[in-house]
Amino acid sequence: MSDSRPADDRARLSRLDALLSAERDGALDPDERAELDALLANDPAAPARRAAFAAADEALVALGREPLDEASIADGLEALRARTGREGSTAPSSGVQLDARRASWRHPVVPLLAGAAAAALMLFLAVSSTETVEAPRPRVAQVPAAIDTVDPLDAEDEMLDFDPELAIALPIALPLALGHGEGAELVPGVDDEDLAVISELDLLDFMAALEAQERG
Amino acid sequence: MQTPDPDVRLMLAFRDGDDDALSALYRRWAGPVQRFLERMVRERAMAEELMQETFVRVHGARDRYAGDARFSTWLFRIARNLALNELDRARNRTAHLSTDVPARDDERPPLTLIAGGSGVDDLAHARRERSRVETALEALPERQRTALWLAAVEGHSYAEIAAVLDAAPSSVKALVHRARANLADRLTGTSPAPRQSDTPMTEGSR
Repeated sequence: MSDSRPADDRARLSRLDALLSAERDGALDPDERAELDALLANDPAAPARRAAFAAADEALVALGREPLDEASIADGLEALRARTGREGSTAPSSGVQLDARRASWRHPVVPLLAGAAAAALMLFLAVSSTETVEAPRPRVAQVPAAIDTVDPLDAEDEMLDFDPELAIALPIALPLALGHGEGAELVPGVDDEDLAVISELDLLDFMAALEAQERG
Repeated sequence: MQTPDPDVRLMLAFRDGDDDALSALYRRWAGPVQRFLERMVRERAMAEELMQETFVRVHGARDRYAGDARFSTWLFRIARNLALNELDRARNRTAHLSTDVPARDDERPPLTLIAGGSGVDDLAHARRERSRVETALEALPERQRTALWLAAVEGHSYAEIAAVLDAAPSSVKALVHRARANLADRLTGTSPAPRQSDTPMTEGSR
């Protein structure tokens, strides 16, 4: 934002603001007090600026002085006693973080990603249990019904512009990254080592074989 | 040595085993700390949790409390650090999943007024004014906002604010001045003018 006022004006206004602010805070020394008094007497805009500063402070004080109701204080005190009695004197609570993480898991995409991750894991287990990778069939029947909501092939189709290895690994890696490792709770048994193994599979061959089999 | 700050006396009493002293501190400071945190994190429920956490930290640090500074300075420093940590975590979560932004209190459906009358008009006007001030305050950089809040609402000195912000008192004076000028500009509808950087002033003592 440009300001067309001459530099001298801006410097004068800034100096006036500095003095008025210090006045509000009771931080003027005698020289500054005299300087401000002179500005207030000679600058027609200075009194209005002083009133604007006072109004801003009053608005802040009104926001800050809203009291908590007695019931909230009583509840808070009870909760504080319960927590400090239970946790001892030094252990900080992770309640805030946990609640926040729970909120992040409420996002609708997270269960879908978790489902995709579980399905991709089952595919991986199916492939690794056979000697050949030429004609694997996804053993969808082994995917628990509760999380069998996303077809891993659909997920792959939407990511064709990306590296196919990434397309398979991402549904597993993303929930883990999102939850700082908590994704493993939703996909039991998946850990960093599993991810490393999956990323080393020859997934191009796997996907090509799967596509050929789908065509008939 | 007799300390003049009654809150320090209460905290020292709590340190020495008087649990009622912590209750007294909570009754006095839960509200101001929560209002401060609401300005920091902009979400009432989170501010409540952080306020509770602030007092849990006070409880946990009681053995280390020396009483050599104003109690509220220490309290707001704890509260601010907790809020900054929480804001960092929120930013990280948002970076991971940009659509996962927690709902803010000000995004609740607007109050529907179904009756006329001066009482309702006054209430609506007060809500609009409050919202206007909150919006103007939120537009300030965090350090400016915190410095101004502690100066104008809590009456802290520049030196005390400097202790909360880990800053030099002289820079706090400039922070407060810029924050107050910005807020006044926004509330009066004046375009915030580019200002001379840190107009030098003799450091006053408060």
